Amino acid sequence: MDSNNTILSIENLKVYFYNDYGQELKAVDDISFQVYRGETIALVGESGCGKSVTSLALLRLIDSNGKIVDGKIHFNNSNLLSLSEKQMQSIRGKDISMIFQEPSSALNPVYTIGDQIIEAIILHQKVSRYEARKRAVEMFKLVGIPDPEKRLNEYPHELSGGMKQRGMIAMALSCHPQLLIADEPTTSLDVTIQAQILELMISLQKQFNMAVILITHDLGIVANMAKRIVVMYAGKVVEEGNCHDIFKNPCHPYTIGLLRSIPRLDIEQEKLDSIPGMVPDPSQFPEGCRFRNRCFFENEQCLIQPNKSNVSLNHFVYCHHWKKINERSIQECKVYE
Amino acid sequence: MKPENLRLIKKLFFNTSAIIGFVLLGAFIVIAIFAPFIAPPKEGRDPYMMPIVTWSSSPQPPTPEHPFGVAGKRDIFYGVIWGTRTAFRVGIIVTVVSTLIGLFIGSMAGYYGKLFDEILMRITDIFMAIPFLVAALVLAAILGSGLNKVMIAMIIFGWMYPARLIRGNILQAKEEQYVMAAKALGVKNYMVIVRHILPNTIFPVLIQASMRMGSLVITAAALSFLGVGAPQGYSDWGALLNYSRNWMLGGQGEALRYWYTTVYPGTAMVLFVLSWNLVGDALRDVFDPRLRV
Repeated sequence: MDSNNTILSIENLKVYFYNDYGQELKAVDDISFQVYRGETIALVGESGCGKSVTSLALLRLIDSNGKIVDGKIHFNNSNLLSLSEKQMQSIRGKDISMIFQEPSSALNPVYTIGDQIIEAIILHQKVSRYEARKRAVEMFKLVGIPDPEKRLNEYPHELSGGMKQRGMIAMALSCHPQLLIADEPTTSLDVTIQAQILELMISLQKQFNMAVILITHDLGIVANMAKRIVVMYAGKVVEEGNCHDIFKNPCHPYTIGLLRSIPRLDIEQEKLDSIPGMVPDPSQFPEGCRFRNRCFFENEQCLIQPNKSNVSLNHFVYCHHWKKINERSIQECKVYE
Repeated sequence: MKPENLRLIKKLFFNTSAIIGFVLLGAFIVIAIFAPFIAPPKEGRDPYMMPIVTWSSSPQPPTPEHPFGVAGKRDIFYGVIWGTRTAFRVGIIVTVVSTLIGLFIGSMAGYYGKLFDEILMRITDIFMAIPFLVAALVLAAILGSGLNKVMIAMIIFGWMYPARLIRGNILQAKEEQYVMAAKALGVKNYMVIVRHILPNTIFPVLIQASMRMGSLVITAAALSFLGVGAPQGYSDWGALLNYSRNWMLGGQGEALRYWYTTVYPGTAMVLFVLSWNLVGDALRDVFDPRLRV
């Protein structure tokens, strides 16, 4: 893929948080990846591995106790980190939109859902309130909200979870963004609604030709939606590649662990595997490879931070042992038993 | 008007306690407005000063001429009627000014946080630590007594409550995801405060203010009763009760002999406080959409 096709390029992004004792928490440490126009890329990893921080950093919405220490975020060839706050405000919601995990808490309870989507439309498009309302109705129809005229006048608490998430999606897409960040968009919904929302997102993505960064820990969703996957662990990218490559030929022990912890229909399993241990506290990340204290392959090599290795075209891994791992297929690789 | 707002207002007026509250408050407002007609003052005299109607120092029971009786040589009826105006003036001025001060300090502390918050909240704590009545008495000793001085004292020692309330609410609202969502939509910073944080925080303050309106009048009356409030003869419910202080236990073997000296001004005060409390409750039901079902 050539660079003209790149809509977003993150280079060596570092986001650190500081607590009251001056401790430095490296929530996102030196990550790089690209997003191409119109594609869906999935950011995958356990809770607390820096996925959401990365997405908030894209919008420059890191809390006051955090800081983007270093790196570049190129969006349409302009570095977002060098823009003024005012320029940034005109990008948020217009060129880059975000869908949040909990639709019920991401909607302001004191305004009707219509007020909120109309606010978003007026904010970025110079249209009258009447015109904005017409567009809001169109957006509601587009995301499959029945009886949109009536629903516009309802408060968030009067809508079901799935309806609220549809409303959030309508709001996020109301200005036709080029990039949509979906932070676990279906986590709080039940399974049947999840499927509907995902289908809706896929069809809207095609319609608007926008790039989507899908943040999730649900690999089932990823397989459905994403073209490429970026696996994150403890603030670092550990593996990056096309969906097919990652699922068929995972090269990082963490990716293998993630894949093995989803139930599968085609393999007889008595007990589902899990990755032993937890993501370490950000103040106590180990030296070198951050996954090493949970890793089956750990040896003295791992005390040094592994470099990026190229498995195949567009498939990268950060592990000293990837060749060894690569030789076994995922089914045979009994690393976590 | 949106149909649901209409529905809310309808709902409000089918709520018995809300109706009682608004009717009582309306009655007080009418009395305050029409005081010169209900109890006409003598020409050329300060209408807020209760006229002296008798030279006998002991209270006199209600007669058609003085329907609430006479205490301290003055007509209780006149005092209760004109005292309504005093009550509104004290209540509204003190509540509005102290709420505005509190809103300002509280929202600064809550929004900017950190050291700023720390300093402002410690100052608030210091003010809260001083017992109000003692502080007001000391302040009256410094400033001199009088209704305006009492109002100043009540403002100086009254802004902390709205300040703390708004600060806590803002701290809470700041962390809400809809604030982040609004920012992610590109809403400007001050619009985030005005449109998304304040509407979620202001209602408790308004409701608290409307409820405090009533209790402030009691406080003012207490200070008048203690003698640092309204001057001798001023139409004020507390001052009226001050007159009846000597007669509260009755006299000549009859405990309830001078009941009218306390019952009429006392009833006015109780109803006044009640009306504000009921109105406060009703306002909460109407204005806070989070309570809409």
